[in-house]
Amino acid sequence: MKYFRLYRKFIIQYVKSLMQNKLDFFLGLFGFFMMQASGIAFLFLVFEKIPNLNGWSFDEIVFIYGFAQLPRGIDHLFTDNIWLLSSPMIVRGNFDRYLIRPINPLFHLIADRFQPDALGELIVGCSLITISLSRLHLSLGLIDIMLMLFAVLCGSVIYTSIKLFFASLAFWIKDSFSIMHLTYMTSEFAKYPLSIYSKPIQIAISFIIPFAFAAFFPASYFVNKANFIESIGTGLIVAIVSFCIAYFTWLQGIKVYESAGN
Amino acid sequence: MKTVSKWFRLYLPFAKSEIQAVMNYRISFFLFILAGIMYIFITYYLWKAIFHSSPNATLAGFSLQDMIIYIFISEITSRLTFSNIDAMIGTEVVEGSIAINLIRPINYQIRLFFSALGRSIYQIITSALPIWIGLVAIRFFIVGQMPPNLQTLLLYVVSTFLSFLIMFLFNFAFGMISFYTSYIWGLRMSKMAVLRFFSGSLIPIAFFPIWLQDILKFLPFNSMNYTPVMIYLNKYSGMDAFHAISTQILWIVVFFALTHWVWNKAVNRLTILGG
Repeated sequence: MKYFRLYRKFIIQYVKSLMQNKLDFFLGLFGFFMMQASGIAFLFLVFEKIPNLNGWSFDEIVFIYGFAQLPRGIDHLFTDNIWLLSSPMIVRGNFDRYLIRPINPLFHLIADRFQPDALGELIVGCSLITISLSRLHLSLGLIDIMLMLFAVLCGSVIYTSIKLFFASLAFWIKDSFSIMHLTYMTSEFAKYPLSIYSKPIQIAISFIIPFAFAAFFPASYFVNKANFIESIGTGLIVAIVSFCIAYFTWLQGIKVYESAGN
Repeated sequence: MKTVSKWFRLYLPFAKSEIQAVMNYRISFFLFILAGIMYIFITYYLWKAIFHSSPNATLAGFSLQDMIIYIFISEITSRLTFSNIDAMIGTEVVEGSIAINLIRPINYQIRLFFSALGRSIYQIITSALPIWIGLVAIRFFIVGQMPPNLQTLLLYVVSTFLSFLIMFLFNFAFGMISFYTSYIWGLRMSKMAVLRFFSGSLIPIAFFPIWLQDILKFLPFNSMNYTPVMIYLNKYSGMDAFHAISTQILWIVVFFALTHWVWNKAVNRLTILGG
């Protein structure tokens, strides 16, 4: 409870500072929409030429594409500060201040920054999901919506865990931005049906850097292309396991952290 | 000729320092290259699946083999022609260091040109050439496909250089926006999205509906990336190639005039702001 109250205070402070450059924010949002629109336009042009893609229709692919935005957006909204842990926080010794306050350091790190840029992902994701579901003539009941929220939550945890794990490497190697960027990029693979990739890639994004469980697998459940156990059920386990690994790495990292200077 | 050699003496250090700046972050640079290559592979698998799902062997005049080469060469070309001088101008204006650069006895545009050139040379050595050699080797040993002949390669190099000039001038003009507003970050993102789509680096322009292709004939996007890639693929031959390259030169002239005009206006404005 204490943490909820604290978090609200943190966000209010952050939004105040953000209001100073509203125009930049909206231009950034517009840029993001353009990027996503070009991705959808790509799919549209391709589907003019083919009936389906490995058995997936245009609307189904758009649904996966849209669903993939949600966990990514939630994670982006709340935990963007983890990027700064990878670089330059450790090198500059800025990490000290997260250790000297009487609250959980990970909570403090995450609460320090709130990233409204993520609204772009959330708006695009929700619109694509709504449009594709209505075109597929699928209507979700209350249970389905609850399940979807749950799947999005699991997916966000997977995103955050992967980010936290690779950012924590900075405790040892000082700057882990580029390796974190590289792994974050692999999430792009999970926007399309997994069957289009070769086996090693499928295994890698399912079980090594498990972005597939944050996007493709849960999404395919809702368009009736996968059963519950192999999509959302396994997704939950993957989320728990990856968070444990990431949190353990983070704790070990704090132990070896020696501030800047002498 | 004498002025050109003087230019090189004067401005070559800017190209060198740009290369050195990137070299300092070698490891992250290579990881970023790796991230780029990964992106190519996503596109590769996507197109493979697209062709397998298609009842026809060719789509919009492209076979799967054409498409694979298209993806790689398009990526290489955009690496070579990429320049972030609009961001550089933006930073200098925001930080105010542009004032010092203006009073120095050097031409601001030529200086930035050499910075962009340095970056592209570094790209050739560290990523474009290795990726290209890898592509040609793999195509030769696995599919038995020969690389394009010397004439095509030369035309490709010429056309890529022209694309580089167009992108440089375009980004220079774009960077001038930061004289008027400091909100260039969001605008840059929109610019990148528009360029990626309409220059054909996401999907060949031949896939676009005819009416859109007709409109694009009068816009500079084709000349930025599509033309060199189509030349490499031998899709433009003879008169087509000649026509496409002339169009590129025409755009260079247009953008050159534009940058001069915008530059004069922007610099005058800067003086006013300085009081």
